[in-house]
Amino acid sequence: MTILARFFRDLLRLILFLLRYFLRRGSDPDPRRCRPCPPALKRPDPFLYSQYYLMHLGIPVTWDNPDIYIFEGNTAVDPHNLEPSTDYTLVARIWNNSTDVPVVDLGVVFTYLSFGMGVQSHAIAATKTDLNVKGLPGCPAFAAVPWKTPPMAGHYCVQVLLEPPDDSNWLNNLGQRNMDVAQPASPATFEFDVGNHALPRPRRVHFTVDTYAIPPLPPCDDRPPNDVRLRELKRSAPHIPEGWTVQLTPSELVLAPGEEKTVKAEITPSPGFAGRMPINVHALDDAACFGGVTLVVEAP
Amino acid sequence: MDWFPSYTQCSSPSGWYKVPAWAMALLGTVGLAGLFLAGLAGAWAPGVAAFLATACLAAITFCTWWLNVRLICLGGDHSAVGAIYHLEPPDPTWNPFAFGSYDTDYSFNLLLWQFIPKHALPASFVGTQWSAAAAGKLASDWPTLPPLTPNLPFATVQTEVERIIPQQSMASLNLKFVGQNIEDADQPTPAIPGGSSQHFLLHCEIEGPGMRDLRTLLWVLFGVFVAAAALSAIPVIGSALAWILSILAFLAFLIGGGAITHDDASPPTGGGWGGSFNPYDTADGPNGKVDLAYVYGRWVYDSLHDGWNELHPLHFMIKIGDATKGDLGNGNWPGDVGDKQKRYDGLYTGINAPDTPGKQAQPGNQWNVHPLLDGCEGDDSHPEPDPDEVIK
Repeated sequence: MTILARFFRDLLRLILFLLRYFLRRGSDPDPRRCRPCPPALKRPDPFLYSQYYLMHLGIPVTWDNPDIYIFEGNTAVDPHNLEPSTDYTLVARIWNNSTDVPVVDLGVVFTYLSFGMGVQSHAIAATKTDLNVKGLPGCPAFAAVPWKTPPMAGHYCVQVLLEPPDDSNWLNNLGQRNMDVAQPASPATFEFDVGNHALPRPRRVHFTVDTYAIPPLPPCDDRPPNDVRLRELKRSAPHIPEGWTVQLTPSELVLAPGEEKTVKAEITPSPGFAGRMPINVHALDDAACFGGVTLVVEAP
Repeated sequence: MDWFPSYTQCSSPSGWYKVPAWAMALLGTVGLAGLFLAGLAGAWAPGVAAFLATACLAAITFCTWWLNVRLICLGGDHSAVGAIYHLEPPDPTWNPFAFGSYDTDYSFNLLLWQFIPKHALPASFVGTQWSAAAAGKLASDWPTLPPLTPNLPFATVQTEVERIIPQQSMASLNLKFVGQNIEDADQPTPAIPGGSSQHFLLHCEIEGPGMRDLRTLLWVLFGVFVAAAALSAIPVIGSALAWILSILAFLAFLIGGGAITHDDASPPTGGGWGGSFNPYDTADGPNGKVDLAYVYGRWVYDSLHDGWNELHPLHFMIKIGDATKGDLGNGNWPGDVGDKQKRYDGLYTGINAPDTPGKQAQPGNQWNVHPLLDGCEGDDSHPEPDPDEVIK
């Protein structure tokens, strides 16, 4: 760039600054207040499929988390097939939405809950992993911990929480996998627990039901590099198809602080159904959704 | 990767020179002489305009030295880890003649990992620090220096010590070197025998555009004053036009200059810039939280001051953990900080590689929310865990 061109660029920047400064005078933050500070601080954005964050964005979710895996030996298994007192390995797939800031020693905390919503979690283990930036090897990163299932038979949810030293988005660090599978034995029957361990007052609970599953991705081959057209995200989940019924008993609850109750779900598919249908049940209180499960009906 | 904006260059030791005071004085003298002669001829309007134009040129000369020569390159970009000891934000003012306020850099001192504030270089080293043998002597004396220095082998602190001591590459320039001192509250009582005022603090500066803005404004004013002097040659109305232009330009300096001191180093919008940091000196007692930082910047000597090495400009910094003020004050650093620095260095070698933007521009990396939601299906766009690799 010639000296003259650089001068005019600097002059333009100066004029823009002065205009901005005088038009917005008084609203500029005092740098001595240290918010933000220091200005060259950059933050990573580690995340995984986080149902609560996606719901916050208005995006439908599945509770069959694609970033949480359960291995028995070297074989991936579904959470509904877990045996009591058996050794498994839990694996979290972790992404970084920063192209500049990796995370060394990213803390990853694994917990489990009984199958349901709003129930108490129990520690499994914490580990650390190094997460590189978007688009380079090391992103996604994987974090694994061993887990011996409790001696009681039952279904379990697995939660993963990321604990980086800094983050540009703290809302997308918690994901959970709550999924169960049943055959439609006229009807397919599931049970899950709903609890109130968060509020010091009674929690009024109701449910919503949908059949959302993560749709297949379009092929990358169709796009040139630097094409930033993003796929339009669905803002509403598909309803229960015609001919299906989902019966929740009870369909509404009032839970005292610390109380847990069991809800029964009876799902009757349409006649002649064959295949796999996910039914997402989301639990809501007066404030927001506080959990959910994905119930999968499988018919050969 | 996306670095924080920077406005300066550093000069090699052989290309460095002192503030060109002679050139500035010469310009000032010429301007004053012009003013005097014009006054004698009764042509005050062009005389004042020409004098102010030469004053602008003198100031531009200083700004150019400040931006392009003042900093002496010590050898590339480097990282460092530690805790921010003390923050020094810029000091905006509405006084356009407070020339120090045009430096809108945001500074801090980094307490280097493994050291505590009271650790200091020995006076025996500081007295001979520019000599070629001084660094070697410091290394050989190191085991005898505690409690002035940490009780660690010199090899474990060598890189950090190297960052803050005078460099032989510029020893022939005969510049001062005073290093960085700690605050009075942290001074050891009684003083540790054989110590100095040079502590293990690395000065870091995040650049603001203030001086660049000032130079731009001065060039504009220079042009206006020259135009005013030329306009005064117009019969009848020339002098009046020259006075009006000169007064307007001076007013622009009074208002614009004050505003420029507020154009400080600010985080760019988006890109993950921003956040806050808990420094050491303002932490709330021994249990107060102090954040640990990985910083990366250009290693230079700043010749405008009495002398110290620094990272300037700081290209970026990240938070890598935390500790309590009490632990850091007692030297109980988290044990893995040095290892983290090496791993961050390794990762940033790849992140700053020339082919990285191309990789990151691939369609499979253009998602914003989650690769499985707004991404696309490519060969390696969402790899599954390989049990042989992941499960150990």
